[in-house]
Amino acid sequence: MLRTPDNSSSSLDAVRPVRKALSVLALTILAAIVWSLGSVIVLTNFAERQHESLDAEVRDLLIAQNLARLAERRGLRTREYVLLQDTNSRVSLQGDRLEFQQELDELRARVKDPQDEQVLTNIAAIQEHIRQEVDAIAPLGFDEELTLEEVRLFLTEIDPLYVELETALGAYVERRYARLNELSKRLADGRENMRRWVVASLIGLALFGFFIGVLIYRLLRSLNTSELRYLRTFNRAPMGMAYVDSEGRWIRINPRYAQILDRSPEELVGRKAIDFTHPEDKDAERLALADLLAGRTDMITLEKRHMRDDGTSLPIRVTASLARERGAAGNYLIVISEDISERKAAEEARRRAEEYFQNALEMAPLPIVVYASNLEILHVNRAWTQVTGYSMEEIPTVQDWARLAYGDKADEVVATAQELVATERHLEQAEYTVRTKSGELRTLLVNSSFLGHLSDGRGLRMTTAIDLTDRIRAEDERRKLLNELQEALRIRDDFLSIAAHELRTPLTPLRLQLGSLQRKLPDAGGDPKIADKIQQALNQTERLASLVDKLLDVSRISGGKLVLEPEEVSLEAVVRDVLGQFAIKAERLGCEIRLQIDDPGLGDWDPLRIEQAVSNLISNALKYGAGHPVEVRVNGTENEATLVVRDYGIGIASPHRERVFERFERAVSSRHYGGFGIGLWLTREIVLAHGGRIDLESEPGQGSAFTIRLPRHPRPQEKMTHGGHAFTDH
Amino acid sequence: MAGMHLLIIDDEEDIRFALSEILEDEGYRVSTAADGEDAIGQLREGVRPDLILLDLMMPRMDGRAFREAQQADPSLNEIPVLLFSAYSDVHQIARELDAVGGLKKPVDINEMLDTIDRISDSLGA
Repeated sequence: MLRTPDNSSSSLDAVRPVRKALSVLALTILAAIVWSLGSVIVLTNFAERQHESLDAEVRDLLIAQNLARLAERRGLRTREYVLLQDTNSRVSLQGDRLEFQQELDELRARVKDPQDEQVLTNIAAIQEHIRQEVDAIAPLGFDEELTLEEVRLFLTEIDPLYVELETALGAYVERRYARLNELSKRLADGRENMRRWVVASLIGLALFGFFIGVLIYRLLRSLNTSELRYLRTFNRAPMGMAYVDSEGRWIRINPRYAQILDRSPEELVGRKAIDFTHPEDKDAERLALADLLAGRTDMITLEKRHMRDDGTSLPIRVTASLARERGAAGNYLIVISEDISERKAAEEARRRAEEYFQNALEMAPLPIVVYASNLEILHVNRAWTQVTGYSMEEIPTVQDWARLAYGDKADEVVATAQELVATERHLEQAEYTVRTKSGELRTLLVNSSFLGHLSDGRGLRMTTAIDLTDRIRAEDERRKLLNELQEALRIRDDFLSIAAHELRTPLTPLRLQLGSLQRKLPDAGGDPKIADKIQQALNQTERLASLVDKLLDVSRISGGKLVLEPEEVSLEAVVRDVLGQFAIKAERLGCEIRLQIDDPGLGDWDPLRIEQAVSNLISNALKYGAGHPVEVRVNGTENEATLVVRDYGIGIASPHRERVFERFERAVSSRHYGGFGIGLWLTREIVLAHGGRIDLESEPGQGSAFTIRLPRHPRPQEKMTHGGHAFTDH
Repeated sequence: MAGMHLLIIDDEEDIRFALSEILEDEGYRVSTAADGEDAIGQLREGVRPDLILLDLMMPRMDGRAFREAQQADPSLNEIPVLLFSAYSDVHQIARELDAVGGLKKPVDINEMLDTIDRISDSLGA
């Protein structure tokens, strides 16, 4: 099962530049915000402080103005008091003086400027001087009325003091007022500056933001077109891609690679690739890796088997190249891998197919030679070498082969080959006689086929040969044997024929003489024993004559000379005739003949041949059924007549049933039963010649029943060309 | 018919001899010829048998040729012929050659004498 590829780890690394960019952006924005906030706070504080100092100035000014007003009022009240010498005025004056003193003390407490302090100390001294003057004149009120002089003197003394005081205070107020104006002006200036600064800042910030934005936009754009595309490629590539460190460990691995190896990327990262390599492939991988790392080559490609958990291996093709990372911990490898199991399987199948084809070519029992259109011989198979004696090394070209095998005809053969090569046509069944390496002449039946073109453009032809030499020899041999056999048969048949005639020739006079002797014996008053002997001798001559006739029949029918002379025949008549001939023999053998005629059995047959057949069957029944009854039955249907001859003799076991119809065959030993064993064969030949058939039913020990079925009107038999009668072989 | 004249044509001397002896014993007058040519010669010289016993298979002139020659000669064609041959289909051939009968060699002497008697009777009748 393939695990779902998890690309988080790989994309994490890939996103690093993006994150860097985003971090820079965030920091920049943060810095801008902090800077803006700081600026606002600083500016606000500055403004506040400006306002506070302005307020203090105003208050100082107000106090100073109040002091000036109080001083003026004290001057007036002091004059009033002195002039009027009103005690009540003295109280008011006392109140004013106290108020003045308090105000002055406050002001003195507030000012920080030393110059201001000096002025105020001076004012305080004037005020003290005035108080002493006043107190000197009327410390606690007027006990007595002052003189005018005293008043005038006092006024003369006190007035400059008050003028001095008022002047000092006026000057001070002037001074503070001037300072307030200056401060106000400064404040206004400060606000303007701040405003400008803020505007400038905002403009700068905007410019900076724009610049950063452009930068990020471009960065992201460049990421889209290269890094992101690369990432997509890496993750979705249809081939396995991975980074491997110099130790051979997977650093990053794409889903396809993991899928090929049937593992998840997490499982593989950090593992050594070689640990999953088939033990037999490890050395090659180590060597290749070492070459690559040592810089001896830029790229390596190797095919290896990757071991899976289930113990099976997967053939993969791995291509790796070395990448050097600037400033990184070291070099790493870029690895691409493909599942080549299908290709391997196809290669294996093709290799096997080629091997099978090669083997088929090599092992083929036909001599085969494959050659290119420039007549270079590319392959000769084993059968070729066996037949011709020449191996591939001995006949590198068709010319070499032709020179060795064809001698004078070599040029002609080479020309034919060149013509074939040029036309790319097929050559069928051309017979050539070649001389083999051993000097023997062999006849080859040659086929030449155009197979196609080689990768170098040359045409490819295959010539197969059938070595006819042995076949021709065998055919000659067979024909010779057949002729010899036919000749032997002819000689045999001739011999049989001649022998039969030669044998029969003396039989006729012998029989005539015996017959003559037999006839003359009674007249000579002969012994009955002698008459019996003569009869036995006659019987023997008869038997000999019958055997000789059968020999003749064999030779005649073997030569295809069984010619029928059909005429209307009664099977019943034939049977009765034959039984008459065998009556004495049957009696002698102890066989009761049981004849049953259900049908006269009329038909168009050769009477002599039919008689021969019937005679053979009766003879056979008497021979093998001696001592038992013999049943003979003539029957018939509309189209055929039937003869059944049944004996109750020794019978015939099933393996012999068909064989008894063969020539010179018998089911029992010839020692016990005489004859040539041709009777049943001849019978069957006669029946078949009449278009009929013969059947045998038999059980060993139970006897046999032969049934002849003869069509009443057989189709006309094609007559042999041997004269008008059946016996012309002399 | 005793005293009937028979001409035996057979190339086998043994047969001619045995047949002559037997037939003469039976009272027949017997002439012999070794082949067809010999027989024709004798006939042309005036020999006039009542019946000819003719073998078929003979050198020089065989039985068929003799019969043809005999039938071709008006002075001879009336002489009846009895075939006397080893051919199993001698009866068939006898019909073909318009002979009075056929005997198959080796012949049973009684059958032969019966046949000749029957023929001589019919000739005499």
